[in-house]
Amino acid sequence: MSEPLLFVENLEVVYGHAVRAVQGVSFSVDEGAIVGLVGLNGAGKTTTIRAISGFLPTESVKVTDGQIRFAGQFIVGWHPYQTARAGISVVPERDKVFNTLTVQENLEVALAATMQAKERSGQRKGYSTLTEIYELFPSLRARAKKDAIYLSGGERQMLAIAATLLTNPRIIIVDEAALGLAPIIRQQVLDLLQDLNKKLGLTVLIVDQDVLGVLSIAEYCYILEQGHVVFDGRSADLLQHGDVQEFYLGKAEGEERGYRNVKQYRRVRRWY
Amino acid sequence: MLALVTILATWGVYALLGCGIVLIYRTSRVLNIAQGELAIMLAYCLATAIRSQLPLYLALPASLAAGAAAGIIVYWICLRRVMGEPPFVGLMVTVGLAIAVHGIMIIFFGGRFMTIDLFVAGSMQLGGTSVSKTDVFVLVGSWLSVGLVFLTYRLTKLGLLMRSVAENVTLSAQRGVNVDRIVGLSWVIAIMAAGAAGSFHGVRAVIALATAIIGIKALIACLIGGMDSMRGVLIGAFLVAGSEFVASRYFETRYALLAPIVLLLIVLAFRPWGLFGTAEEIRRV
Amino acid sequence: MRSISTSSTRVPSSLPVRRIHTFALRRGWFQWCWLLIGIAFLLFVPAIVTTFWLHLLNMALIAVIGAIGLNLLTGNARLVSLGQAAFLGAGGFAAGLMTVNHEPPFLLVLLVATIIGGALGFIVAIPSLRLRVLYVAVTTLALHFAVSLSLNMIQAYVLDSSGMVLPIPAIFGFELSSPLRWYYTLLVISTGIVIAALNLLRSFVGRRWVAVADHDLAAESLGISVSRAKISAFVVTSAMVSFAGALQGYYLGTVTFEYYNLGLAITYLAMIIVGGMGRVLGSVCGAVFITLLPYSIEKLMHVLGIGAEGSTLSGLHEVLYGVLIIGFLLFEPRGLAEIWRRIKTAALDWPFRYRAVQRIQR
Repeated sequence: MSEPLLFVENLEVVYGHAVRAVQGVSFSVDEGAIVGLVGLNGAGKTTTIRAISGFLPTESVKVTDGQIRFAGQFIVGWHPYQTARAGISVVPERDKVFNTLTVQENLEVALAATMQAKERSGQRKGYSTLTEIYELFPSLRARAKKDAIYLSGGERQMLAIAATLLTNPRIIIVDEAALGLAPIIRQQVLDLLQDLNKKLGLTVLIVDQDVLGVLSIAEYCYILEQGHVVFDGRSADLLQHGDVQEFYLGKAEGEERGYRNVKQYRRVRRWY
Repeated sequence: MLALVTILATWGVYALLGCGIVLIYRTSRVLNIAQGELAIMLAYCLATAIRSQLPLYLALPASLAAGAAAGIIVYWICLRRVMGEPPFVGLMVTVGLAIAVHGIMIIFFGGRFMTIDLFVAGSMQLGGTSVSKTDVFVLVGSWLSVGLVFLTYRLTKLGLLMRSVAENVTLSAQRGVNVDRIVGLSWVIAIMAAGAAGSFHGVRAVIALATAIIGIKALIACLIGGMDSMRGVLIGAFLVAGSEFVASRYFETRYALLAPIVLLLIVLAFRPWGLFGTAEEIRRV
Repeated sequence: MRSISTSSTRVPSSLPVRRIHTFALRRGWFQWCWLLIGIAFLLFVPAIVTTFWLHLLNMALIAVIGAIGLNLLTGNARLVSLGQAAFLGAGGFAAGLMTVNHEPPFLLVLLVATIIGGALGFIVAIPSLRLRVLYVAVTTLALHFAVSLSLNMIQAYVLDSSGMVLPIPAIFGFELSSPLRWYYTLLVISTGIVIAALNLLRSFVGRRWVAVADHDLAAESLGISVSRAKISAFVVTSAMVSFAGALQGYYLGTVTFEYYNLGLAITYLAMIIVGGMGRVLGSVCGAVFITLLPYSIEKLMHVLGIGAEGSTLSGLHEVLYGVLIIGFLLFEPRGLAEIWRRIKTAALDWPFRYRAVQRIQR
């Protein structure tokens, strides 16, 4: 098995000399795989994404330890557009699309910006022209001339994913794919990601709070808790794991647990 | 008719200056106080080039190149670093720039009064009255330039990238847009527009150190129309040019600046973010 | 470790103590010595400088008062104000108008000028409450235009003259008739203002300004009335600046409206940028620096033997001025006060290179 596409090693990110948002985090994403990175609020997921894509604000937030290797290159300290051109595409949590531009123009921006990246033709994945995108997302074609602000939540997510496809990515990192969406739309988005992975061999890193949803489509999953990776493994194994079931999937076996056995207390005691 | 041509010509010059200011503001959120000074400096350069017997087909491209160079220098040295800082910092940097450019002009052009003499002179018949050819030339030229800027902004790929950077810098960077280059290009375009506006003004009127006041008038036009609206600047420039004309006709000439200021005060009292600007109100207080 | 710093709270000595430097006036004997040396120096300065430089120092001291006012507003409360010239002009003209035909007491005139400045600040504060930073600046710009035009009208039509002349002021019989007398008076006044500003920043008023400037939503949810804080910021600082304007009117002896132009407002903004926004020490440094700058440059060029005629010289001044502003904004945005702080902490921390807990600088 060749080297993983994205390899994060012992990452540590500190906010303002004071708060260690992420500490000792290591994970890897193989080419063509769907990997999940899950955790609750404040676990450090978005910070990790920012560290990978180069969006850490420079003054107060620093990567103080560890390395990130993408396709053999060390990318800590790269500018955001450099990581984007290298093939790391992020679908952010909020502000996914340009509201004042039409759908067509949104897609054109993604296309125009990476025209210079055509030399990576050896890694073209298909779906890099507008017609192909419109075939994949017919609902976007119907709304091509509409301002993006008028799209519904699910369509907006589709547009964001479509725009990232146009940037010819090697890996798509989706931050909170399903935030604020109805469950049925949520499922559609996850199915779409799985579809893209199967058809194009696109590497997907899903970062989400919805552990069950991610475990259903990801092959391998890492669970973050307060800046540390506490569990990792294949999805099938994690789904069977007792602790994962208890703390993240909401199942509890056996008798009713008393106060001393409540989540918070046990979690603090168990892993630290 | 004469009045119409005069107003249209002034309107065009202010609009050209103003859309440069708005372009800069939209992409880098900096209020460029130095627009007037840069315009006059570039006009001085062109006037000097023509005065020293340089043929027109060399002088014009040279001054355009000078404008582009000025834009690159200004962006690279001064404003690249203040991109992420609060807007006050950018504003003060342009203030410092305005002062420095003023000083440079004093050193190199030392208070001279110059005009740009092109081959256009005399008067022509238009609609029954005789109007000055230079006015018509300035009218046509400035409006063509304004149209050029608008076309670039609305229809070209570069304009699309500028609009995306104007809306959301982070998202643009995530989509692979080279934000540095786009913002730099917008500065270059804006300063070239300023140079053109200053030169057009120099065709009609005199260029002196004090002529940099046209930058302040263009700023007032932007403020009236809305700092982040390209359409607004057209309306604002019209109001400034029109009120100035009316004031200098029916009152004394020294009240020429007074009228736009009064208009600005009125607009600020009711819509501080301009007639067409996006409302920047804190609704909680 | 014990002789140099003092924290304002006492902790039991059994706990590990981290001493944090403050600019407190209560200090150890080391600081008292330096303070006395400083005071002595300031008192004896007139003996070692010519009258011309004494005059410059007086101008600098008046500028200190104006700069402190602007710094409190723009640096601490983060309400960018381009209306400095308007407030100065209001103070100067108030003083001038009051002394046109009569000669009211000096202190009374200063008081009235201060009150007028405060009222003007109140007027400009109201529309600024709901606006974001850029448009607050635009509103103060509008104020500048409005006041400038009004002063023009007053001077041209009401007074029908080219300026007003103010009499020589007297405080309880002590006539301020020479630069030397002005110097000591201004020294006392500006020291008082500096202490007042320092105390203001540490009082609940000042802390509210800073809280609102940092995060108005959080401040509001803590019970601070954002509108009251902004209004009080404008009123207090504009009163201070008008006070300085009136003082300046008396010192220079004349007031004309042309003096109060946008360039003056920009000069004061340059003072607080170069000195250090948000720091009282910054206002003092910046005011002195900018006031003495043009003449120092001339002196320096003289000494170095670089000659330049009138126009090129003034052009050079301006280029230097602009480069200075840009340079400080790009490389040392916290100004001279920050440079001083770095030198000081490096000296005090020696032989350590830095400290485990850094004091957060605003």
